[in-house]
Amino acid sequence: MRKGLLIFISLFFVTITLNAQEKYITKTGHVWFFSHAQLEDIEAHTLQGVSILVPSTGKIEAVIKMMSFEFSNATMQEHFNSNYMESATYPTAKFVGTIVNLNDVNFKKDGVYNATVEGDLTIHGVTKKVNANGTVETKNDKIMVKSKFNLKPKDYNITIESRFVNNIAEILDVNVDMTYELKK
Amino acid sequence: MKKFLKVILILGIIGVVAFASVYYYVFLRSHRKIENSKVQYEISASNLISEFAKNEAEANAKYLDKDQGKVIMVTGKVSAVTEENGRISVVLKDNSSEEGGVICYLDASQNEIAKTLKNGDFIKMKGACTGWVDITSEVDLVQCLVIK
Repeated sequence: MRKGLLIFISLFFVTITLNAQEKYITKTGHVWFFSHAQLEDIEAHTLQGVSILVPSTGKIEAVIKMMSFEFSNATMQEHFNSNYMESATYPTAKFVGTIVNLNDVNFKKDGVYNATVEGDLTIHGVTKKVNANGTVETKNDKIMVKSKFNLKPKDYNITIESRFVNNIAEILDVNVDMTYELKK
Repeated sequence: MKKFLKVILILGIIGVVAFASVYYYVFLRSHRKIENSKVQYEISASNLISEFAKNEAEANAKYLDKDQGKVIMVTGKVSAVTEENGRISVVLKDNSSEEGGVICYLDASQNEIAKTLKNGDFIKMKGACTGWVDITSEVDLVQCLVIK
């Protein structure tokens, strides 16, 4: 009887641990950025953001391919990769961080929750501590994460020639819209 | 007087042609077409994955050009076909048990062909390699064309 109870309790805890580590994933995350400058507005989108979210720890990892950003202008897209991002050397931007107010987000109950995410963002080989506000929405066992924040290319050693100061903004608006599903 | 006008006219035409060429190159030129591009490497999905897993910097130098991925042909077995936001992606793997895979994001022209693909099918994909995603052990291929 005691042995049975012991086995039952052990299995119970093992199950809890396994569920707690469940990962949610997206490989089609939408990330886009705007540059508003005096002479020109620039916009680029990617629908190939890869990200893993672990609800129990609030950990978020994301990898964005620079070459997956699509611009309407082919020449602009080439310059973005060859001159500014040097994508052949630094093909990805990576974020590793956590939801700092994890207690405010109830993944088990469908709803929209305000969240703050903090972590390390690496772009062009430079890593910076960043934080951003956004929303986490749970619905039908899917998790939607949306956020909007600013980025300064200069912070990541991305040099934009002074002659383009009226074409490319010093601060970019970045948007994230990811829909995560349970990783099988 | 007439000769002078002639020179102006010729210079004018050269000027217009030059302007139009630059304008076309900067603003109107379309993005690279995969179907017209030469295949730089042909490789199996598992070999491509292990090249990136072993040495990402070396693989980047091999498969990425300064401004875009090199056009390569990847062979492998279909392990998954997913549609999201109207875009289809096909995962190629040689061993279904291994982690990761080659994710082929299909060109919109391939949507109908993609619907005929089944898990286990052995196919070739022609696309631009954009590199390695370490958190999922995957190599990405974009603008893919299905070469059965």
